[in-house]
Amino acid sequence: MLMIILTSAITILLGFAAFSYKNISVFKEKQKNKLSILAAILAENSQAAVSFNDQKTASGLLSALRAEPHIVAAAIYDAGGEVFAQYQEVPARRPTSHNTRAEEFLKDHHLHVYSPVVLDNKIIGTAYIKSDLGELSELIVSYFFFGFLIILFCLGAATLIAARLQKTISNPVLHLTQLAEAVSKQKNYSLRATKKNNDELGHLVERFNEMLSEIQKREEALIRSNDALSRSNRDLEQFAYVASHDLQEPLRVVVNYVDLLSLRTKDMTDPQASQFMGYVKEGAKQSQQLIRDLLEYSRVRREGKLEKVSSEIILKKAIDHLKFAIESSQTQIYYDSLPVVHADPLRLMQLFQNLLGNAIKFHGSKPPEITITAQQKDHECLFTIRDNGIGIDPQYAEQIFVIFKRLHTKHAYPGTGIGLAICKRIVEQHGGKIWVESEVGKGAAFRFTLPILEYEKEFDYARSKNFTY
Amino acid sequence: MKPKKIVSLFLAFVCFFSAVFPFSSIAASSLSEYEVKAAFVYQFTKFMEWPQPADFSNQFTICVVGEHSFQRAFQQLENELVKDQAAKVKMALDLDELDSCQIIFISSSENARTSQILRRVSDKSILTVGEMQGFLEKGGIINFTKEGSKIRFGVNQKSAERVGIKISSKLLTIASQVIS
Repeated sequence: MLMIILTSAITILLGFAAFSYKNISVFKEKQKNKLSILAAILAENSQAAVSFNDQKTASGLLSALRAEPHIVAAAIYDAGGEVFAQYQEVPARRPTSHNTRAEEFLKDHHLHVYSPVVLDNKIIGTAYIKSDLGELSELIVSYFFFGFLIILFCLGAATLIAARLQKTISNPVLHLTQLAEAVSKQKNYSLRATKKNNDELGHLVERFNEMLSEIQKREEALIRSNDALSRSNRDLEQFAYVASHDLQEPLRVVVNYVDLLSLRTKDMTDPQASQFMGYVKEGAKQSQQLIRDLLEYSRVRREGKLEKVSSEIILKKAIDHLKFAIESSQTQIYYDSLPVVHADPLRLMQLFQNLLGNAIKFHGSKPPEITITAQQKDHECLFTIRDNGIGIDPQYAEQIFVIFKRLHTKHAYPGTGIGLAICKRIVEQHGGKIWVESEVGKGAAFRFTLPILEYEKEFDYARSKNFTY
Repeated sequence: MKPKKIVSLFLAFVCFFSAVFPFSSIAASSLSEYEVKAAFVYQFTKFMEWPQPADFSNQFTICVVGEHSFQRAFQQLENELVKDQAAKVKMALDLDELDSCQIIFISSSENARTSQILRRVSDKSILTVGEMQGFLEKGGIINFTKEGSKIRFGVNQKSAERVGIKISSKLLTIASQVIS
């Protein structure tokens, strides 16, 4: 509002100044003209008086100028430039430059006008009038005074108009802005703006509210579908858990009784029978393993809790769990200092364990060498687990993370193909990404990111978005 | 009395007066005075307009009637431009010569002949200038007077209008006497 008033004040001032200047200039010109005309008339009327040396008449003519109070002096000079008749104080001699033509100029805050007395194309004298600038000064003063009043009045009017505008335009816009801010901050889409008028701003408010309603509806739909999804997920989870749990029982029966059978038939000399039983047992054991893995996989889906953990400590724990495998394969493990991250400690350990396990398992001819490094970038921590194993063909780089997907036969390398799928799930639950960079025969570098959360807000937000699966 | 007798008596009277009146004082300063009067006569022309008769000759003639003592003063007007013409100064004596004048200056010495002269030219557009009392009443147009040392003049506008001579009001303003 102050802006409006300031702008108005400046524009009024400039406009008035220009106007005044123009008017004063015009007035000055008029003054000069008036005086010139007076001098010319005086000159004309004094032709006879000068011709016939009649000083009495000439003085009489001059004294008539008394009628104009701003004329301070006047004179008629003869052809030689001497004073012939005068009114008040004048120079005794006419300045030589003013004998042939009419002239007017400002000097010493007075206006001086000369007009030649011409008779029969001959200059026989000069009329001279001197006037003060009283009228001009009066005009300028009145302009200032009047101008001051006008400006005051206009400012008052501007203030009123600005206040009115404020009400009709600025306030509604401000209201909308504040509302938008509130909605963003609180993520509360049920807020609405109040419509005050039926003009364009009123329409804007209506559209704005419509938009908010749309967002709210979608939000609700999203929540609903989220709920539905999580419900169905939980059901599936439950189903998987129960199924696998219940599946284990019959399998255990099979394994047990096959064991018993093999004991009983140990003495039998049918070699194929033992072979067959061996196959059965292996198959059952494999199913058991599969089911166990499935159980494991489904368990990973359950809610985890984010904590600030030292990834180095977790890694050490994972290495400890794999102690036997490491020693028996003569694996060398190297790692830098690893940072503190936000993660579920159990899941992180599982992640390390799986990846390390794979690195040990898929070794080549040389003893496995594993290097674990981490680098921080923006809000992420990038972990790299590099091994010198058999490597992976890049065309399978994505497939290996698919559940139950195996690149090698189970005779070559054991496992159900669930390990990397679990790793992927864990990493994605933390809001990160996992991938592999490798070539056949050149080892593999498994890399995954874990976000490092700076602010509590993002922490909560990530939690609410990622963990209600 | 018969009119002819009155005129001759009057003329005699005028002659007597002109003889008795002290010319000497006038004669002593006569040159400067007549120079002024000649100049005035010249200036008069700038404030007057003559009618344009068909036989307006290319000459502007100023005729001087009277004593020759001021001849030189008026001679100065010779060839001066009057109404875009070169002025000629004639010292006229005969009445017949007066017809071709535009201005006739009758000096005070011609007291006796004044009325006769005025009568003679009364129907012509001639500026008659005199320097005697009663000149205007007799029908003259301009008459010189003296106020102390200052030379003044009176104007008979009626006489001027009668013969078609227009006199500017600027001149009338400074005249000491105006008969209209």
